[in-house]
Order: sequence, then structure tokens, then C-alpha cells
Amino acid sequence: MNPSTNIPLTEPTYFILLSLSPKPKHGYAIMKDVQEISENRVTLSTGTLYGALKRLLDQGWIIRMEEKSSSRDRKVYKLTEHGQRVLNEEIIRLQNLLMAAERRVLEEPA
Amino acid sequence: MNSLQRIVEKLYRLILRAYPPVYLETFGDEMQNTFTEGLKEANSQGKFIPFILQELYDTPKALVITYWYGWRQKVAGGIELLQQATSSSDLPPAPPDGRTSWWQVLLEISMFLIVGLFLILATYFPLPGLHPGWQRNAEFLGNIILPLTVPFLIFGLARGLPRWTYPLGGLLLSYFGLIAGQTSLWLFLTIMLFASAILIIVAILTDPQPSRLPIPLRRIGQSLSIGWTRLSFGVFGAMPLIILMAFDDAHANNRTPYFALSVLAMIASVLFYCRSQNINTQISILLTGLTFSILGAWIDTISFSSGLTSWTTVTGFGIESIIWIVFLWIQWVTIILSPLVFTLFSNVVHVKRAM
Repeated sequence: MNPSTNIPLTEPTYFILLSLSPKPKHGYAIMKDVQEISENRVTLSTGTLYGALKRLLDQGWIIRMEEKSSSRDRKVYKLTEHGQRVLNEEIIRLQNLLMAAERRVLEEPA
Repeated sequence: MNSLQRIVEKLYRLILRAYPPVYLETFGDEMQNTFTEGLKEANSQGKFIPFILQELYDTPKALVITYWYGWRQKVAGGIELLQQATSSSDLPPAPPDGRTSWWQVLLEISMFLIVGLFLILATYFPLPGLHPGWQRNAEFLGNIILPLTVPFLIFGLARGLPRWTYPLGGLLLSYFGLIAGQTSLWLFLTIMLFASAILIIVAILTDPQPSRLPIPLRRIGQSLSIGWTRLSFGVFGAMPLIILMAFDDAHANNRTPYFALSVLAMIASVLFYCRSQNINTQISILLTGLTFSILGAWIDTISFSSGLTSWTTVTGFGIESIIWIVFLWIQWVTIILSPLVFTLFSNVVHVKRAM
């Protein structure tokens, strides 16, 4: 499936994928990380987070697995290759938007 | 605060029960753990109340989205199953239609030609043996409609429901609707038809091995899957009866040319429909045919006293007659357009974005 057909992403989806990009995380870690990387702009509630995770799982953008280092029966979520491609496409799209805005601002006379 | 925290945790466990059981089975414990961790940290940071408020605010929204998403997935799965069940490659190819062959056009238009010719002859050149008011005589209409439709419908079903069978079905069903309406059995018939349709869909959706479905049912699905406008074309098969209903004074006022024009509009629109390749054009043609046919009946009820700008209703008909015709038009436009709802429906359930 072509990743560009899935973009633009909604803000919560974007931040969840971004949060999972470096390494797999469990639900609460994602919740905290999203809050941190969005500089407290996006605060996910438990229901919203798991609703989003369910949809991302169904789309095959993330997978769910047992946490290896945990003594508790805890699940972590990992970005799939397809999910990473979708995220990369979205980042490129956002960069292009930003560059277009920068060009226009620089062109404008002071 | 610990006891309050425990109470809130228990309350959240109760709230979680509102989620769909399958969802809860997968994510229930995780959600509870995540909530508890969040609650503990919020408590330690003095943000206990904002955290609870945020959860309370978001939970109804998350619940609605979860149920909506689950429902969309079920419908999408059902539609996929229907498509698998009806478009299997082991079926013989669907019969051709008028888009590719003039011979098929002739077959598809034949019912309209025969009935149209009869209507014109019976209206303008009273046939021997025809009693006045035959337009409202259900028994007389049945004697024409049943032999004209039933044998060919059975033959068509055996041949994989080619497009020419659809208007025959429409005419037959509208005739049953007419007699049911006259005998107050319409509600019973509607319920039976609705229940049968639901049963067929349920049978298809719940069959774990679609290939086990009876071949005739799969061939009907195969024929329908070619284009939803076929159902609209089937509904258009009721046009001869609609024209008779619209010209409810035909037995008394049978010399105006508008009746013949309405019949010709019906036949012309069917001809254009049969050769048209595009769904939008097909639907537009059917609606135009319906509109012109009913417009003929409307003009038939008015009298142009001094040119087109000054008209009055013909004595004895009044405004009620015009309202009735407009109502008839709205009713049948809705019915003809209704199969398109399926197309819109299948578009809605396609999940393109994660959120």
C-alpha cells in the first residue's frame, strides 16, 4: 500500500507514531511521551489513546507484543516498517509545508 | 488520598464496562493499568483533579468513536464478504446488457414498448371488450401484468438475472403494491419484503463458506454488483403503473395528447438508459424520464386560458390534483434514488484514515 495515500495524519496519530519511532513503548509511556514531544499541547486520555492504538493496529502501522524486560504481563507497541514509511511521508509533507511558508515569508518585503 | 484513589480506580473499572466486550477483552486490563499509573503520577504532582476531569471529558467521546469504528469495521467486513460471495470466479460470466449490444437493448426495452403500445391503444382507440375505468381495475391489470412478467422473470432468474429482467420485477412488485394498497395488505407485504431482504443478507454474511451459497443467489449478487443503477432501472419498471396513477382521470379525459407524450418519454428514457455507460448519466436519464412522464400528467390537469403564463386547473380537478402529482413525483424520485444509498454507504465504511 502506498503510504502517501494515508496522509495527512491527525495530530494525535502523528505524535503516537513519532513517539514509537525510536523504540517500542507501553501505553502509559506513549501517553507521557506524546505530552512531552507536543510540549503539553496534545494530552491523550486513556480512552483516546487506546482507541487510536486499536486503529493503528488494524491498519498494520504498529504491532503489539510482550515487553521483554518487564516482570509484569505488560504489552508494548512497536512501529512497523509500513508505519515508519507513513510517518516519514508525513514528516516530508510537513517539511515541504514549512519550507513553502519560509520561502514566502523571506520573499515578502519587510 | 489513597482511599480516594482506589475509589476512582474502581469507578474507572466500572466505566470500562461500557466499552464493547471484544475491545475490553483486548485492552481492558491495559487501560486500567495505564489509568492507574496516570492517576498515581497526577496525584504525586498535585494534578489529581485535572487528570480526572480530562478522563471524564474524553471518555464519552472515546466510547462513541470506539462503537462507531467497530460498527464501520463490521459493515466493511460484511460488504467484503458479500463481494467475495457474489463475484467468485467460478461463476459463469454475467449476461451482457444493452451497453454492448443492440439486441440486448431491444430485450430491455421490450416490456416498455409492449405496455406503452397497449396503454396508447387502449386510451385513444378503445379496444373491444375494454370496460371504462380499466385503469383502476386491479383484476384486469393483473391479467395483463402477470403473464407478461412472471414467466420471463423465472426465465431471467435461471439465466443469471440479466438486466432486461429488472423492469419486469419492478412492474410485478408495483402491481402487488397496488393491489395490496387497495386491500390494506400493503403493510404486511412491505414487512415480508423487508424481512426477506434482511434474511438473504444475513444468510450471506453469516455463511462461513460463501461458495456454499446457492448458485442462483450468487448470480443475483453477481448481476447486482455490475451496477446499482440496475435496481433503479428495476424500479423504473413500475412506470406504466405510475403513469396510470398520475393520469387518474385518463378514463374521463382521454383525448389529450399528454398521456401519449408521457408514455413516449418513458420509452425514450429507457432507450437512452440502456445505451448509457455512466452511472450518473443513467440515473439522470431515469429521473428525467420520470419527471417528463409525470409532467405530462400535470399539464393534463391544467388549462391554459391565455398563454403559458396564465393557467388554471381544469374544472373538477383543483389544486389537490397538482399536489397529488407532485407528491407522486417526490415519492418515486426517492425510490429510484434509494439504491444509490448502498453506494454511498459502502464509501462511508471504507476506513481511509486511522483517526
